[in-house]
Amino acid sequence: MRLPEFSYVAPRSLAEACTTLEEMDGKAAVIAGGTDLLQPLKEKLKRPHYLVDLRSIPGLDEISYDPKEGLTLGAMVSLRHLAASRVVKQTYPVLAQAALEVATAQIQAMGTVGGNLCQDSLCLYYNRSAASKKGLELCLKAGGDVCHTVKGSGKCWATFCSDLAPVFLVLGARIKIVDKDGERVSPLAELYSGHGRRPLTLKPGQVLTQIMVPPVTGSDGAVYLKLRLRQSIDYPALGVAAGIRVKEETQKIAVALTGVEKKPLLFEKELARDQTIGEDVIRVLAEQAYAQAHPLNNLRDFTPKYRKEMVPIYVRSALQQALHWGGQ
Amino acid sequence: MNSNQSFITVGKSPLRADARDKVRGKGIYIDDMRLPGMLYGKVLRSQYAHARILMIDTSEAERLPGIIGIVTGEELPFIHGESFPDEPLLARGKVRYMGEGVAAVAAVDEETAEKALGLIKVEYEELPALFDPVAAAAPGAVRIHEEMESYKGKPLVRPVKGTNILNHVQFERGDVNQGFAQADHIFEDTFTTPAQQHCSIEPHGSICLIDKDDNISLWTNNDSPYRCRIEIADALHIPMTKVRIISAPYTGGNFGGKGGLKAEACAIALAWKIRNVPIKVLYTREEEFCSSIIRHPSVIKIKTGVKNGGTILAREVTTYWATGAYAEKGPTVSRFGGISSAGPYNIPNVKINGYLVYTNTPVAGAMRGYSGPQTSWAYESQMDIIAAKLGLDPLELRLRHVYQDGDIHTATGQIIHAEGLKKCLEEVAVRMEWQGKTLGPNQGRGIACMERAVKTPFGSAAFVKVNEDGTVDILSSTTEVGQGSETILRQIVAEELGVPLNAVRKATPDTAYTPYDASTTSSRSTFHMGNAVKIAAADARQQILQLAGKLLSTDPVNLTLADGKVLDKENPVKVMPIAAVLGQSYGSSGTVLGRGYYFPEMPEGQETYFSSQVVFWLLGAHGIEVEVNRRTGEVKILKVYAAHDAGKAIHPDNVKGQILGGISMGLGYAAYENYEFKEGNVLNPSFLSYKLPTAVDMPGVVPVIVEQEHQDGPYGAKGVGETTNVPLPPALANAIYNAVGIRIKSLPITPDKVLAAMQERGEGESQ
Repeated sequence: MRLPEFSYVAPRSLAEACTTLEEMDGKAAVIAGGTDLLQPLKEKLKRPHYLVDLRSIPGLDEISYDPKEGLTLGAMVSLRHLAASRVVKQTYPVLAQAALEVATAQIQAMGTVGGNLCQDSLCLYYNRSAASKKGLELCLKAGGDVCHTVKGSGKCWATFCSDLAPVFLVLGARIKIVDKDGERVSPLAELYSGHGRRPLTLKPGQVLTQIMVPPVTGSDGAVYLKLRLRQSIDYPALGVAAGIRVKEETQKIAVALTGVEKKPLLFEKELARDQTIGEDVIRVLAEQAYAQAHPLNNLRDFTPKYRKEMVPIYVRSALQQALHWGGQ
Repeated sequence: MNSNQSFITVGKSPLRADARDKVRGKGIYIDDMRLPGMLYGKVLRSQYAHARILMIDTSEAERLPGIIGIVTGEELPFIHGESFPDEPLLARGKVRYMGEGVAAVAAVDEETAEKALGLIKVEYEELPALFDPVAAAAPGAVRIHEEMESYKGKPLVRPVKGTNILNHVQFERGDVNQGFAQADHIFEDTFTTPAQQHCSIEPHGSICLIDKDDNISLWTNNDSPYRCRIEIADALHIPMTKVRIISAPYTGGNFGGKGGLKAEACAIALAWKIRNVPIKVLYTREEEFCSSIIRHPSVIKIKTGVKNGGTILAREVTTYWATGAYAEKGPTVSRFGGISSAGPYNIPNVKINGYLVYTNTPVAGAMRGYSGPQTSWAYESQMDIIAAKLGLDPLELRLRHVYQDGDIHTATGQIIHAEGLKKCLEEVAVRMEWQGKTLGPNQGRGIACMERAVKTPFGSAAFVKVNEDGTVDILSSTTEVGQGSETILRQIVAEELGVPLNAVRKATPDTAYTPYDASTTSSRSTFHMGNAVKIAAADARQQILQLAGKLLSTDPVNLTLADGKVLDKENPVKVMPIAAVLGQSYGSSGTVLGRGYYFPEMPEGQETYFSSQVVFWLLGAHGIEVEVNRRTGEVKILKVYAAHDAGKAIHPDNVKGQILGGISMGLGYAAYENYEFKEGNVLNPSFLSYKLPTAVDMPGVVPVIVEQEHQDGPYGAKGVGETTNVPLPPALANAIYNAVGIRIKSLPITPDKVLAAMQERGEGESQ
């Protein structure tokens, strides 16, 4: 399969990129590493007239750490760079580990942090070429009227499968979004719409430029566990991140899930700093996660029943490991 | 036998002839070939599993600039197929599976051709479709080929009139009912297997040029040029010598998938209409999955009667093979499956029924193992079910029943010889310390073996041409599809002629110049073509000695060849390089051309059809150690031990490569690969969602080469590569049973299945 025709735009600045994107009014797509974009283009699932390449804009691929500001990652930092960065490994090794869980070494080399967070959601009925999809009625995500996964539901149930999103969520990350009117900072969770068809809240002309993670304290801990059929390439059939963030007075225990809903799911619990995180807390979080995880028969691997059964097992395991890492 | 003879290159592992080219990206494949004025073809494919074609309107597509021509099935009144011709070049009248070619377009470039496909309008009337072979075999089921009775198949194909069953395979020996009556225990189990795709790195591709007199030149990555030639000539009703098949220099993987007419059919369809211009068709990966070929999904019912103490008295096997929309190699797959359905075991009473059934799914045909993966999944799983019930050692049960030299093969009635299977089992048992090794908690081990016939009787011919500089060209129609035949044939010729390996080249097959060969399939090349080139080399050797005798004034019987030289055995002073002999002789004495032909001798009075007698058996055994996670159902393979009988390994590293590759493919079938079908749609026609095991999923493998020399093989060698994948799935299932006591009867074995089975037994630990 070949790429369709498109015009390639290489803006020199963010302002130029935002203006171009807005002017194209939905006919343009942002390209960063391209790993989540080129295959759907070849399959004619998306037909943007313009590709706006962020690689030509300087300064978007930097990693820095400041004890007060925390870790700042440019959206164009490659997954390989994230995995290899000394600063990242010293502050949030879970990010380096999660980056290595994404797809393959080749995709890690091309794919970016921003691209991973902004990846499209997946569905067996959608991620096939336009030609091969002709046999079934066009689904909502492909511009049609039906959902083959949940028949008669009238909405798209494509699953969001980023490996990095749950990790950044449990770390309390915020994101910077730029458009021609300026920039705004918001919690990462606000990036996600919860809609299968369009999983992101970004509007045309808006670009994710930075991810900011709060400063580490001594007893923070976080892990990411991934369920998949193969030890490489696969998207998560379930991904669970767990993190403990200790503040002055309190500690926050967070669990986030990917691969089981239209958006990443976040569950948090705040306790007094000196309170022991016991079985009761773990149970509550595992039960919440189990209740809200909604795996469907739209990914290739494992039955939905199995993936749901794995949720509490993975949540417990992730929390226990995070507590261990956090020294509790 | 040559067991004590010392060889110069046979039995060594020299660098493969194709290694440097391939590693450097210099290998030429069909997609690298561009002919002057070449057009590009694309195929519009059916969007229904079963439907009548009411109308095809190509007018708008024809007006697109850059479109040279469009052809539909109605213009092509031809059907093709190796043993049961039933498949049109493009659908005629109706479509029988989703992905079937309906119309083809030739354009100046691929983009234009692809664009034109979107402008062709087709009206269909949908028909009820059948996806399950058991349902499709039922009397009264909708007919997928209403005209089946008019098809002219080979005698071995036995359709059942008025049904979707195009071949009923039967073998019977003894009296199973009596055997069951005498048995103390009856075991009845049903096993199922899914579709699998070859996933060759290189897709199917062909370039076809047809002139006004119907002379056809076809450049292709087909595995078997001569078989391809006759299939085309028969389909088009033209003399076969009007068809010239030229192999691409290299083929990027075959595994049985590149036989028959795939891209060939599309390129021929276009070139038949658009004459005097070469037209290339290269499949996309999606076409590979949906429109090329798959392994037969199967349902296997196996019933076995056993005495107390474990003697197997009777076995009855009924198999449904889903052959998809067209016969392809189905008749011979089901026949081989029938031959070996009861397993490689001495069982006095056996009854085998195989039903090859049309279904509205992608066409199934040849794939590595060619029925072996399905049959062994059933009989080897059941062997362990029997052993467990009777408290017997699974290895012991097998060793007690496995064929040995002099035994009579159940299905064929043939006397067994050169049977290395017992040795394979014993080698695996020794390596995995079957006796004595203690495994940890939740760990288990399993063993499984297999047999499969090589296709018999078929011939292979070769020429060995010795050039005036002393170098040698092998003219043979064996294709190099990655299996390593090029190197093995060169080794044999170098050995026979006493010349260095690098003085021997193997020509790319071309039916205009390289002689007949039945096919590069069934792991038959080392044995059949190996014999042919060995005979041809011996012929050339005699010719060289004759020439040298004249030049050295010596009786040729005193001369021998070694190290690229002619030597006088009695007078060491008389030495002459072969190059000098040939250099001085050419011109005056003509050419040195050795001829060789091999056709296996079969006992007289036997039925002569396809593999009623088998010239050699493919044999192997696998042992697997696993650890099962009781909470998640995940199975970790700790080690695979794989022993295969090569007769004599001409190139041991290549045999090991075949074993490792086979393990990877067997592992895919066992634990990863599957087609997700939805009403005939393939939902996972890409590497995103069709899961091949990756390099990091490969377990540690201990490959063992068993060498039970075959009396008719070159240096005792026989084929080995085709079935190195076969025993893995049942060995894995047996190991899982050994570890946690659950029996999986449907492939692939995935963690969700394992966990569900443990939960059913009340053993899971899930919340």
